[in-house]
Amino acid sequence: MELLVIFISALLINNFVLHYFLGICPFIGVSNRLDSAVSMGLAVTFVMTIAATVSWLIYYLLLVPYHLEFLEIVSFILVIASLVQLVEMFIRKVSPPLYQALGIYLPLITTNCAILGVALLTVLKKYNFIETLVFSLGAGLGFALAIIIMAGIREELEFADVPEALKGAGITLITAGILALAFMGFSGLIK
Amino acid sequence: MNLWKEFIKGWWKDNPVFVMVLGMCPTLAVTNTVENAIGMIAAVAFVLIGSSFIVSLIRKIVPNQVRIATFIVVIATFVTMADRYLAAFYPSLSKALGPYVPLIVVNCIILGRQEAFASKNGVIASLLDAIGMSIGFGIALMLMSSVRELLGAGTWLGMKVLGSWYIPWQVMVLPAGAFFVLGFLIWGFNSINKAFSKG
Amino acid sequence: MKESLRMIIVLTIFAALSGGVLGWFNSYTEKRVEMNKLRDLQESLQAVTKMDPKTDTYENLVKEKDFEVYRILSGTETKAYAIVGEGNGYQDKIRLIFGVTPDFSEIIALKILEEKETPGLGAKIESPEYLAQWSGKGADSPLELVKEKPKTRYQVQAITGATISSTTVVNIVNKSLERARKLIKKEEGK
Repeated sequence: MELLVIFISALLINNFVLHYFLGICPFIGVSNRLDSAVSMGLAVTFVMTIAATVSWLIYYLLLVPYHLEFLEIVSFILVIASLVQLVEMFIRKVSPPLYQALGIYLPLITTNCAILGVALLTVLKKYNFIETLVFSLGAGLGFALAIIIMAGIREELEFADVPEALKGAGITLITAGILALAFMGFSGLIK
Repeated sequence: MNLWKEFIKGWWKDNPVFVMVLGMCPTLAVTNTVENAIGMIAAVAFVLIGSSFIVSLIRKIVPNQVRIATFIVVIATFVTMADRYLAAFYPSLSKALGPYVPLIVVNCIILGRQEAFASKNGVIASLLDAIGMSIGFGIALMLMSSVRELLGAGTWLGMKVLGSWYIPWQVMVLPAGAFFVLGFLIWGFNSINKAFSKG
Repeated sequence: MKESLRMIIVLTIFAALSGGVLGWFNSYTEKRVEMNKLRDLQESLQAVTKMDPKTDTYENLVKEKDFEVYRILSGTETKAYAIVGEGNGYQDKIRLIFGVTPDFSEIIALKILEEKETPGLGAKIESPEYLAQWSGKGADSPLELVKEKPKTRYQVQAITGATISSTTVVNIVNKSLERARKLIKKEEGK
């Protein structure tokens, strides 16, 4: 089942954060607390799936037929920026409690390389629409998985004796490295 | 305004990678070899300097509410040019850097400098700020890639440095190695700064 | 109202400028990019089929995402076929190209086009030592992977510590050969 391969690959084997290095900024910034990590993970998954599929539609229904492929970068980033605005307005109107939980993270997501990264990769890998949907879903959940695990570890680290100069970005990166090593074990999961 | 200070602040004191911890994605992704790092440094420098120049030029005529959108359009234009140029004239480098060149458009360093500096300062100062930040970025990436390629493959820029007695430390060229090296470099950077500020 | 109008005008102007600059720049680089792709293809075809760039020509018979077939012609005579295949390796996709004799009896040579396997292990499928064994392998019967030195033309030696990568390469070749053979038979049957 090719779709399952794509999903598991994006989720675990080629995890977006730990293998492609996409989404590092929010990964380091928001992973210090478990509840904000969960919110960020869900917000990213949501935006990622919509952004990737909309970008795919724009690329294959608009850019390719008119030989405007060189406008890929400009159009994708504008789509993502507008999408995030729309999603934020939509959530604020439809579900204020949800906005309380996710809202503040949404503007951060615009410059999240992971969102643009997913859109670019689906075009690079020549995925069709369904494959794009599955891929972006797997990628988003993979990001959520990584950031939630990271938050769990960091909450424990609060009680550890970390050298002053290593606190913050330093120890987070080293932890991420160990996590990346662990995720390498998923390689060869599907033949 | 002290122009010299604006120029060198990006090298150490406000180094975009080690201090501001911005632009992580390319730093981790393309530092597995020195050659890739050099390609990325060139691309980022081109986009940063070009964008800062344009943004500084137009800063008085762009309405405030649409400034981010305008900056993004400017940055995306330069990024597309860099990407297409590499694909045409350096195809193997373009393939090696892959999607990370287009991703420069969301690199926080670029948008950050437009927002924090170029949109508020004159052209000369903005150019110096951009060049200074590019140099700081370059220093960080050269450091990272030198460590990773040397330890991970025993070579530097493809030339064999460590003899055949050296068994390459594979992890260095893998994603995990990137995290480790950056983490330790930031540790070293902070420690040096602390030592100097105490003494 | 004046403020909103100004915003729209400014944004539109910049968008138009961007589009214009990129359109011009693109026409400047487009040809080079196309040339590069063609040159890469020709180099690969030469490497796996011993095609002579000065006298031979090639035509593309199939071009799908994971399967391509090229016919190498010396005048009107078919000199060889080149097949491009893809499969899932240990880390990510492996993409390769190999040449076969026109009667599909022997593999001329194999070249890896894309791989993201583990450096030092799976990535060794790109090493000359590994690739050299592919020249002369039988193409009229499925190939099998073995761990020791191959005893027949239908056995391929795996790379120590990279069983999955090695298996994938053999599988891609077997599958692609089957598809290509059926395709050519159908074509010749016409």
